[in-house]
Amino acid sequence: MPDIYSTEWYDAVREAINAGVGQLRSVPEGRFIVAVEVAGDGTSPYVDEDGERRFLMEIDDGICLWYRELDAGEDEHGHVEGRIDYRFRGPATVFDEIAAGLVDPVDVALRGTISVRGDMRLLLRNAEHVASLLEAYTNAVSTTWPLGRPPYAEPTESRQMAEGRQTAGEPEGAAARA
Amino acid sequence: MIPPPDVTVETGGAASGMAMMVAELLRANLADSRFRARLARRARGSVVLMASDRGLGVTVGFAETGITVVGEPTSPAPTLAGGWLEMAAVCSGSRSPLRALARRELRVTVGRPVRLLASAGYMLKVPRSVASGDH
Repeated sequence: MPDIYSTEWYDAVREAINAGVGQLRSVPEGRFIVAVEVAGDGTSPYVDEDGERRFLMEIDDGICLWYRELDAGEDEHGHVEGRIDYRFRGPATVFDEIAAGLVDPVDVALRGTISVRGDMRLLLRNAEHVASLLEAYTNAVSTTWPLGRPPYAEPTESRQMAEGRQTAGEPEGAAARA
Repeated sequence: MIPPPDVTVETGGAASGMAMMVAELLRANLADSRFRARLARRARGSVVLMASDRGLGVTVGFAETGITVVGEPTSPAPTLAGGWLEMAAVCSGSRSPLRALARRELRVTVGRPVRLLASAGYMLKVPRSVASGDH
C-alpha cells in the first residue's frame, strides 16, 4: 500500500480514476487541467502549517493522463499550456479525511469547505465524472499514513457533519462508509 | 444592450459552496443570453433548489436590485428537489427535466409564484451551444 502523497500513491490514484471511467454512462470529451491546493492548517502532519501541497492533473476524454505534485514555489504553467480549467482548494485536514474515506468530497464541496473555481457549466455537465474522480481519491486506493491516520484529535466541521448524518441514519455519502 | 442583473452570494449558510456554484452558473448563462437576462430582470420572488440526497439547498432570490443566492433553503418558496447528480444533469442540459420529473428523479413543490420556478429552471439550464461543446 502506498504512503499518502507519495509518487506511488499518485500513480495508484490515477489508475483508480481511469478504472472508474469505464463505469460511467457518459465520459466528458475534451481536455481539462485540474489544480488541487491543499493548504496547511496546523493539524494535518502532511502539510506544513504555513505551507501547501499543490497537484496538477490532466484529463483527456475522461482519462487521467498524468497526476503530479508541484514543488514549493514551482510555476504550474511550467507543466501546462494555457489555463487551469478547475481549481480545488481547502484545508489539509479535510483533504486527509477525504482520502481516508471519513468525509464525502461532494458534501465538502457543496458546503464550501473546499472551494471550487472554474466553468460551472462544464463542471455540472461532467458532475458524474467529477464524482467518479473523487470516489477514486476517496475509496479506491488503500493508503498508508506514516505520520498518523485521520481522524486527528480535533474533528473538523466536515467530519462532525458526516458523523451527525451517520447518527441520524442517513445512508448516503461517506458517513455510511466511514 | 442592457446588462444582465448582478448575481451576489450571501455568505454563510450550510451550502455556501453550492450557492457559489449556482451563482457562477447563473452569471455565465445570463451573460451569454439576452433573453435569459431579460427574464431574470423581470423575475420577482424566491425559489429553492434542494439537493435532497445531501440535505443541502440554496435559495435564489430575484428582486429589482438583482439576484441573491443564499446557501440555505427558505420557505415558503417553490422548490425543485432531487439528488445532486440528477440536479446537475438537468441544469447542464444533459437530461430532460420532464423525463427526470416523470421518473421521480426530481420533485417540484409548487408554491407561489409557480411560474418563477419554470423561469429559474430555464435560466439555470446551460445553453445547448455550451452543453454540446460548440461554444
